[in-house]
Amino acid sequence: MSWGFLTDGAMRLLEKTLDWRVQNQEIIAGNIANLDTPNYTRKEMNFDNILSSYTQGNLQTVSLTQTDPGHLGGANPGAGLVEETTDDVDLDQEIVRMSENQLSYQASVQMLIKKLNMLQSVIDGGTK
Amino acid sequence: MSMFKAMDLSASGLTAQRQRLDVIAENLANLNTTRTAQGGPYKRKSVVMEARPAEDFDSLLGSPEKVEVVQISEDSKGLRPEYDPGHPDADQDGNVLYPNINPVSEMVHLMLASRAYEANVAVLRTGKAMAQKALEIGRG
Repeated sequence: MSWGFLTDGAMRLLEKTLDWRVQNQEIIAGNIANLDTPNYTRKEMNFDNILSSYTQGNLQTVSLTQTDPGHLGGANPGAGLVEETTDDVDLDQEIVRMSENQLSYQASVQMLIKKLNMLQSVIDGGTK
Repeated sequence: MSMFKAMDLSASGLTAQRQRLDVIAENLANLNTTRTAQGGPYKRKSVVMEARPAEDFDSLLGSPEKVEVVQISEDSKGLRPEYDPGHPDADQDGNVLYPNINPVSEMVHLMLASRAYEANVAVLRTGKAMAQKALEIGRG
């Protein structure tokens, strides 16, 4: 019997999504912290692009090169997903993006909780 | 841990905006100061903010940047001369130089600093809410 339930695509995707959403929160925090910095241009993450390239399996990220199978992987799995723009920071837009990001994060967490509840249900044999 | 990095970034914003607020308070307090340790009237100060990469290597990967007050600059242009021959700091013509501070513009900057501070608090709160939500994973 395989443990497909724990390692299926949905679970992995949810995990990845949480990582990206946290990274996006950092990007937005950086933008808002630099609200009054002269010559600062906002950075952003485009989730449409990231998700579509992830599902097609050709997501381009920057990571450390492993020249030996014994090497540990890089600790920054999301590096290279951030885009530099030429726009100034607009507080209103940034706050809207942040709210959207937070809600999406909560939705992903909720989905993860439901998945785990389903597993719990199976473990309990449906007795509860 | 990644979640706290977002909070670090917001904290840098809070620090910078508070420093800006301090400088504005100093300007307003010294609205009529005609004598300073450097000599001459008080001159309007303003903060210079700069984006700094959180960690050196990360700057190459387009990671978010902290903000830092790198300099507090002094503006010596536009000092207000006022005719007041009885003043101890008056020159030969009876003019006293007053600081180049416009209270209205200082108040506007005060509001801007306050709003920017609030925006950083909002981001901090959101980051915290996300971390708390993540703690719910696997909790029955």
